[in-house]
Amino acid sequence: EICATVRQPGKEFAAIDARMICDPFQLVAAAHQALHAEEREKMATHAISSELIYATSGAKQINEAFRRFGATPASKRVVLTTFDSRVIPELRQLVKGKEADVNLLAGACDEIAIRKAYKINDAELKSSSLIDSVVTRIAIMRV
Amino acid sequence: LAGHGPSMADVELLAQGAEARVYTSTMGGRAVVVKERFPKGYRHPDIDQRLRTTRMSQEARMLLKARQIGLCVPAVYHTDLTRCKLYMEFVAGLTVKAYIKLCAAGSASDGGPEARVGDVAMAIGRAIARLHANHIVHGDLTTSNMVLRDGDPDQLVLIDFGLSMPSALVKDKAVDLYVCEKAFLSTHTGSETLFTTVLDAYAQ
Repeated sequence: EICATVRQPGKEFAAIDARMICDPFQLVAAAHQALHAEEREKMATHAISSELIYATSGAKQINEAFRRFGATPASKRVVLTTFDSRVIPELRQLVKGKEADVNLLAGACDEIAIRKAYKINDAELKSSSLIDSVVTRIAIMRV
Repeated sequence: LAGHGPSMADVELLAQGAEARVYTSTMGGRAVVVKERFPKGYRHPDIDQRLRTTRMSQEARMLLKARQIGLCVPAVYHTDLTRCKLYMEFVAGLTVKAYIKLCAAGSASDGGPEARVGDVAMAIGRAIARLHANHIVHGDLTTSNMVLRDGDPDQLVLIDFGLSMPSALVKDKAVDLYVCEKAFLSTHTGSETLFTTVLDAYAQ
């Protein structure tokens, strides 16, 4: 469990509340969206790290994205993401907490909050996995 | 996440249609299908670009709508509007077309292949019915566009929503079924009864 008790505002990485992430692939898909937006010069936020949070949310409103998905001092588990791997050793030093395997995200996520944020109803989950429903929304957000 | 787009090392052409090429590749460790709508030389470039992106976004949105109403369709993983590439879940399995042919040849491995073909037909009817009840027409209901995930007759997946659109018109839904019927009859000889099963399931 990653428990970050030190908040570092910065542009090279993003801190996401881990309970909203049900699978690492969710972030992979969001990362593709963020990079694509950067390439097209159509980013909604001013940095790629924040664009990742925006993309993960699948929402139209930026503040909603940060409110729902951004890590807060109250977050018990946090996912730190960066597009620059050189930042990682630095992050490891700065963060006070235990680093955990990213594949543990599925077990630690808040399904109810995720379903609410992405507006996924019961009917859909009968034939779809949560991650597939989430990723489809992330991928289609700008389309 | 170095660079973007799927790793270009393992891109393989799967199929080529009139409008798009379909590739297989990987993305984040998952097998994906990349559908790329290529430009048509005879079209005016501006119109061509607009047409391709519109069709692609339509396809993506329809895939989400179908998922929301509880149908099994490929998940969308990424949309690249600039290059008109749609990245979707690769559904491994057997097309219904291949399955029917297998059953017709009597070489399906499980016992009683004919019975399962009937089940598949009913699943098809129910799936189309659900689409139409939600005012979506698929647009290309051929047996090549229906896949049994892992070859399982109980896991029908509809693919290729490239021609799909929202429509409440009875006419459009009728055409959807008509195309399906023609596809059945022309590809699978003697499948009239099978298609009747599809229709009966649809009616319910």
